[in-house]
Amino acid sequence: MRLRFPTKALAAMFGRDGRYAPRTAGVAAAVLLVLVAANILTLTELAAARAGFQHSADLASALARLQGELTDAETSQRGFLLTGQTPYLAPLKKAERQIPRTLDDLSRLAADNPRQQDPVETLRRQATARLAEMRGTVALKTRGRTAEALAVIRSGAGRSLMDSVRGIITHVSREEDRVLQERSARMVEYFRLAIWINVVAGTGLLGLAVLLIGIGRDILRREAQERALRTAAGAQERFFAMVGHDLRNPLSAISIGVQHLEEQGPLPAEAAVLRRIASSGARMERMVGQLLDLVRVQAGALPIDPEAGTDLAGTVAAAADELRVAHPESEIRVNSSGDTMGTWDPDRLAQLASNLLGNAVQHGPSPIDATVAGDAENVTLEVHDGGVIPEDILPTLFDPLRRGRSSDPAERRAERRSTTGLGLGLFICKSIVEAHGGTLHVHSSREDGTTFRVVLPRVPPVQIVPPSS
Amino acid sequence: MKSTKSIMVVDDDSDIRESVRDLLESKGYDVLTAANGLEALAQLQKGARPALILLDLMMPVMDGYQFVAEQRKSATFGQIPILVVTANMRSGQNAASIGANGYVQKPFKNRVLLESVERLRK
Repeated sequence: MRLRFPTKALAAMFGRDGRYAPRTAGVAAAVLLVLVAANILTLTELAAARAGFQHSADLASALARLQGELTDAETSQRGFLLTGQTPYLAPLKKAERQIPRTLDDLSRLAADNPRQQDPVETLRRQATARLAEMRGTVALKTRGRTAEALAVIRSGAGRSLMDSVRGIITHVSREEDRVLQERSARMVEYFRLAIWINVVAGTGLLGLAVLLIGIGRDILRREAQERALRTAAGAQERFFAMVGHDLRNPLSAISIGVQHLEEQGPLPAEAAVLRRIASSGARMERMVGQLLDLVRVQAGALPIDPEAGTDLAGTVAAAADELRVAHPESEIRVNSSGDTMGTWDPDRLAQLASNLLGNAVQHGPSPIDATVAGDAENVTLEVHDGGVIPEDILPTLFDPLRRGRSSDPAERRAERRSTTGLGLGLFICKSIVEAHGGTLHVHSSREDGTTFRVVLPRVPPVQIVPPSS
Repeated sequence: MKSTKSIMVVDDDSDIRESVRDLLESKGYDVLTAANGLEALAQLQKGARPALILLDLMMPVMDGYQFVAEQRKSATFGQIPILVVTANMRSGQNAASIGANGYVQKPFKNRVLLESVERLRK
């Protein structure tokens, strides 16, 4: 089974470009921190509860010890009063030593609970009084005043003291049981809370881990797709290079031969034929280049190879120089201001400048003005001529395979005869500009003439080759 | 065998090969031709020592890149300069990437080719 990860949830948590990843990691860390804190708190509370249980057990043990010691003392007293034999007095003497220590223990153990302090003090007074009563009767018996000693016993003061001591012991024990129950209940609550926090936070972290695994897999898958795309784009580009190479080779052979024959001094009639062959060959060469570019654009984006330090003003000036040689009748003026350098594909930029200036030379009356200006982020090229492009042509001006700037069919036919390309020049210009992340717009009116305006960011955004269809 | 007037033309397109041969011979050069990198390499290994090699990059059997890689390994003919002559739009970059001494992009002006040949042969 293939798990599908909720991409919307992922995008919400991490951002489509991962920009929220630190925030989400922060939340996960906070959850983890709460989890650790909750567990430390629970453990601390458990340790405290354990100490509380021990405390209660110690108190219960001290109470039982006190009762036992008093009973031993009582038995010892009675034995001596009945027999008058001193060995019976040993347990009483032992109890006399132990009972004060036990009472001290009880006071210490009751110190944390105000409700136990008073009863424990009463217990001390009465236990001490009971011991004193026993010591008194033993003293009377020792001095032979047995009747007086028995009279003290008969008075019942000792028994009522002992009853009171037992009552207090029961009371203190119950109070300690109540405290113990409270401690148990609180511990159970802490346990429940800790379990709840652990389950919730643990589930959250587990979910996060699963999402992270999903993201990792997603990233790997996307990288694989991008690799495949790059490979496909590379294969396509190699194919176009091969086709271009194969189509240009015969044209090169024609060109070499024609030039060679021209140098041999042909007859005037032959020279005219050679010129026609040469110009046809050159036109064919341009069209092959344009067709290849069209196919490249339609297959995705025009590939560009940007180089830092490419000068737009210099490129435009070079294109203008070439056009002046071919069209000595045209006046081409180039102006530049500001920093006109950027990271662009120099070959494509030369093609752009040559196409835009060539278009102006072909269609607009002289002079042609090319203005290059650089600002902080962009470099702008404006090519202006005095011609007009009819309004109905403007919307489709940059479409491929359209020709001429005139809306009159007869004029267009005339233009077509004089045009040497496939009507791809402006389309390729736009493709080159867009491949560099820039814009190309045209403004044309009878008053202002025609201006093509190119705005190029100094550094093109990262080129993403879309999947080929 | 070495002559500063001897030029080797390596191109799989026979029309180009013969056109360039005609052009160069008309200027007094001795021209050797090869249809691919392997043929060119074989001629060099047999002792041919042209003053300059005009090299197409895209050829069957052994292309220009492979040829240069092999040629540059040789102690005897590895130093012969290379002039890349190609129809590839990025010929400048391609030529630079293989360490060629110059490049001419097809279709070229005959004058430009002859100037480059004159400058590079030694």
